[in-house]
Amino acid sequence: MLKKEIKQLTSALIVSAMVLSMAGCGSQTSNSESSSTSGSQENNVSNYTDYSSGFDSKVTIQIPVFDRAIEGWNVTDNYYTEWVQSEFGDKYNINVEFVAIARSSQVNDYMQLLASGKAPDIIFHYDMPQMLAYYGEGSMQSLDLDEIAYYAPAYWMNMSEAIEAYGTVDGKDYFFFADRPDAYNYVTLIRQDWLDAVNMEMPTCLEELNEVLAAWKEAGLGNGGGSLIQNSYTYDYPFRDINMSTEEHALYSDLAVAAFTWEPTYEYLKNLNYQYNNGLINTEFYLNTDDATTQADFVAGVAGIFSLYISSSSPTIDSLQANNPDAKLAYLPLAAQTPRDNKPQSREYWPFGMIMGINQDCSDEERAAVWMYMEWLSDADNLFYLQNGIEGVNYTLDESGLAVPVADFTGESKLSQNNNKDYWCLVTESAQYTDKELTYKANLKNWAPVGYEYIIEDSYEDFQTMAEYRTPDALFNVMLPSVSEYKAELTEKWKELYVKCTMASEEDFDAVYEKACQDYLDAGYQIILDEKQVAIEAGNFK
Amino acid sequence: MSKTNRRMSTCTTNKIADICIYLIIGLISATCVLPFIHIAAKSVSEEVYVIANKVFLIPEGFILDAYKKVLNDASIIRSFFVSVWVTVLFTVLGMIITLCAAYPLSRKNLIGRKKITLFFMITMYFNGGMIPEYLLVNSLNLLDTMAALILPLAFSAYNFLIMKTSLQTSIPESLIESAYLDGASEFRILGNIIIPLSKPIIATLTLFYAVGRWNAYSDALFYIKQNVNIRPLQLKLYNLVIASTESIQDTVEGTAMLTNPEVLKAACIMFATVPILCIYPFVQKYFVQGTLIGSVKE
Amino acid sequence: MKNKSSLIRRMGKQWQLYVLLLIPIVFALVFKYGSMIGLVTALKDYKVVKGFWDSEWVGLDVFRKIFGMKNFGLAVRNTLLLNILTLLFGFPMPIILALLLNEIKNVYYKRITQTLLYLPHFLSFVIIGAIAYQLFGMNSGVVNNLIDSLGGARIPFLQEDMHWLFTYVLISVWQSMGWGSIIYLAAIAGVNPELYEAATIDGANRFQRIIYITLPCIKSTAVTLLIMNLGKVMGGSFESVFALRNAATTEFTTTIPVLIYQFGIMGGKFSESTAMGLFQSGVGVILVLFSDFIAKKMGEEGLI
Repeated sequence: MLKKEIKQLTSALIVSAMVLSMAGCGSQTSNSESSSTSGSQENNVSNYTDYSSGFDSKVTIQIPVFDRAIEGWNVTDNYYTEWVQSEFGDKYNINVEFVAIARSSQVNDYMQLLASGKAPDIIFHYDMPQMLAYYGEGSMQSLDLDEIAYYAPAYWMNMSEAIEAYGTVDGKDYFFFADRPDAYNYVTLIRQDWLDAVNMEMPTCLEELNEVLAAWKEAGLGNGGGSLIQNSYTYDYPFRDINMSTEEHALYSDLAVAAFTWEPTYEYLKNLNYQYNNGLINTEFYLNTDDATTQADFVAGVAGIFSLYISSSSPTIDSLQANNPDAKLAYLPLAAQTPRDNKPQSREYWPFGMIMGINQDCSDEERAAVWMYMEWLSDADNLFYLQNGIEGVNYTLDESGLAVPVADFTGESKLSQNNNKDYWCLVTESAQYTDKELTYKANLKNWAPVGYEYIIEDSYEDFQTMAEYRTPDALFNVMLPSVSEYKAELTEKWKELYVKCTMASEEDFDAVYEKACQDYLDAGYQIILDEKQVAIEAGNFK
Repeated sequence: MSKTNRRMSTCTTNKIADICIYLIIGLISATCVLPFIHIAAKSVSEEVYVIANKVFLIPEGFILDAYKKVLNDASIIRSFFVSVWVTVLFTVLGMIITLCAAYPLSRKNLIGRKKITLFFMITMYFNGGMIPEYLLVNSLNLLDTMAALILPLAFSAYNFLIMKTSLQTSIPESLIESAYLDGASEFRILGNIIIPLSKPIIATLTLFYAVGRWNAYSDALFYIKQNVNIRPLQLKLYNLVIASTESIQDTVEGTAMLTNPEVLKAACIMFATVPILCIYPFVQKYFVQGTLIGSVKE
Repeated sequence: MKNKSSLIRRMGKQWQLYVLLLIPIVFALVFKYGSMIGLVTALKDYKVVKGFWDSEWVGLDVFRKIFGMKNFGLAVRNTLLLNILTLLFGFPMPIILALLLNEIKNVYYKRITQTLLYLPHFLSFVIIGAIAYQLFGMNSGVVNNLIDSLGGARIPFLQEDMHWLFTYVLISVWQSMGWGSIIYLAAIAGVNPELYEAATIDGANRFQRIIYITLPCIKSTAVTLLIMNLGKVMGGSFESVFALRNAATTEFTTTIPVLIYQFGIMGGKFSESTAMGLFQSGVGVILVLFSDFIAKKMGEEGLI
């Protein structure tokens, strides 16, 4: 009797021990050797196997796709995934599997998949610091650019510039990109009827804008809005000196780390402090931490200015009209947010959208299949089909060749909520026609709510006139470990300190700012500056 | 005479005390139901007013479209049933495990009692973290299965300790002793004595298990990825409500955020919460005083 | 030899109990201890792709690093402050509620209020946070609007450090007290009504009946819960702080769970977040063992 119990206990313990060791090992058996074989291919076209008639044995590629958890859409199995399989996969004997990556927890998902060895063949993210972090985890293999040119010539023609310029880390090529066509759908809306009520013209510089806000306050109309800047630092562009040196630019200008101690930041905060203390902006701006709360103020008629990425389905304007029937809207130009003596500078988007890398344990054949997929996706007809659906069913072509979607289509070939963007975002950020005019018309349709096309038109005009004042981020071609090390802390510090400076009294501002600078430097910014300085002096930037 | 006076003044004191108690409880309950009235109001208002934060306790523009949408959405209905099924299985399993752990360890003469209790208790404070847990579930091939939502959390040290304490203090030793004398096996004691006598605590822990499982979504978030058919209801809710407050990535992505309408979110919250509330009335009867009366008399 | 064989013999007599224990032990081993291997990341420079085995050992470096972090000390202080305050006010409330509810004779009133009382437990803190700001916001919150219309000065419930502390504790206690009273109600249900009858005959009034009969009967439950909650004093809730904090009120709003979130989930720094978690757990277990010891000394059953 007793022996049986002891036996049972022991076997249970052994089973558990086995489970323990299984859990620890995961499935990491094959990944310790780096796939340096891929990087050492010779620059000889004949070294690449031609798979245009298909692979001998079936190859499976796993393509990541964002899962936005929108009701009624199965991200990995729908009409279009089947279409991809039949049009592309079956042709080359490739099994195309889509792996869902939850948009709201994408880094988590990738980390878990990487840890268990189940990550898809492509590792992607929209911003560079996170991709560098993935690189730092050792999740990607280095690339042979000639191989891309061989298997995906059309794609290579589109993106070679970007890949060669931005895809290098520590001397080797790791990243490849999706295209980012010009976008001008980030607009700042201003209440035209409020301007009319105080008899003022559209402001042409920051000083005039402040006068408008003061007038609004006088008249009891409302304030200039405001929200918390959390982790994308583009606020200082209008305050920069147009003639600064490239070294200074490289040292301070950074999308991921706020340049708190820099002169433009001082100017920006001083202006914000002025606006705060004079009631020109929302005194509880720091509570607006997401689009919904900021929008609520605008739509309720409390704030008169609101910035957003507008689309034809944005509820903002409808809600504004419903709550304020007399509201009239206009586009606020970038110049209105720039001090009189400065040029209206802004950040130039990178020439790429999605940043991608190839998974460490992707085999040579799988990688070739991925390039072929990128090539197939880049084909204009395939893209058009994914972006618009079946002609005559999902849409009709009007006289100019523009695709007009059928309203409220619910058939089998229904597109996803964002027009299948999560599938074609691997090659481009927005839908393009070969004709620039048509593209513009399509953008108008996609971005402007009905009746408000003028907003996008004004935005486009602004976009073109301001082109000369746009500057791209500086990119370092060495990894800067201090940035990923201190980024999280500095993000928190930025929020705390900039709000503190803004809310200080006008007399105290300078003293509070000084102290805040010291605090920020101590929290890790000094280390980042030092590291960048070293890289700049070595010329490792562009 | 004085006795009547005393009784009368005790009566008035009691009455005043009663009124005070009713008032206090009533007031506190009102504050507790406030958020729900707010959400209910939002769920039947028109979107344009909800976006402007104009709805607080009274709906603006009464429409039931959001509920129609919820009830017509097959995936939401399916996830509702997934949640129900998972919750039932989880609760039953959890109660079995808890009873199997709590009863032996409530016997003071069990050898190794302290060590085993410590063994269980440590699991309440130490855990490996998100990635090790994911790897464990992965290596047991439980990813994308309902079992991943039922098995890992079935043993709750917290509930176990509560039950152990309850058994130790409320089951008289004498009862068990006499059962031993009658030659009953431990299993018989558990079934015929312990369980009937522990109805309130079993009811309580059943409630804890059921509500805990119903409300939790973070394990489903990590373990149910590809098989969207078995997403539980709270995960759907999370995706609707929480995910849309993440506007961080979109600044870089550079496109308009896709959000579900506020009204739909509110309706889903109501839909996800009201069912579990309905369990409580069934459990309440076990909290009536005197459930244990007949059994303790020898 | 003799001792060992008699030990085994005694264990053998209890074999049925061990059989019962088998199931929970297996579950705990597989699902709880099975993932504890991950704790080793606190001693390694964890790289996701390398995994637990192949990541480099760095010994106590990670711990040195987190203890040396500028805001770690602040986080510890805040964590203790928030949790102890919440425990101080949040521990008695469910007991008081249970006692009050027990005094209500009208069955319907009792049932309805009970159900209402535990509603807050069902709301995630994200929602509670949003509603809290709508209620307590300085400029446009409902409560402040009311105060303003009555001629008073607006109160920064969530937008000034000390006020924030107060409001945070209030909301935390409010959210959990209804649900927490359930277990005490269950304990009270187990009290023999004859005890009450005997006490009334002896002349005890209502208040005395509560103090001398009801309270002692729920004492052991209360002590168990107290000990378990003490173990969480270095941990506590991430969601409640995260949902209620804002950028202008920063004195008390950085806690260890918030740091773990910022490092772990946001920053992908798993070694650091695991180390912080270990620190939390270590302190928790020490506190539990200590308070268990004290409880036993005071004559209580204790946890273990």
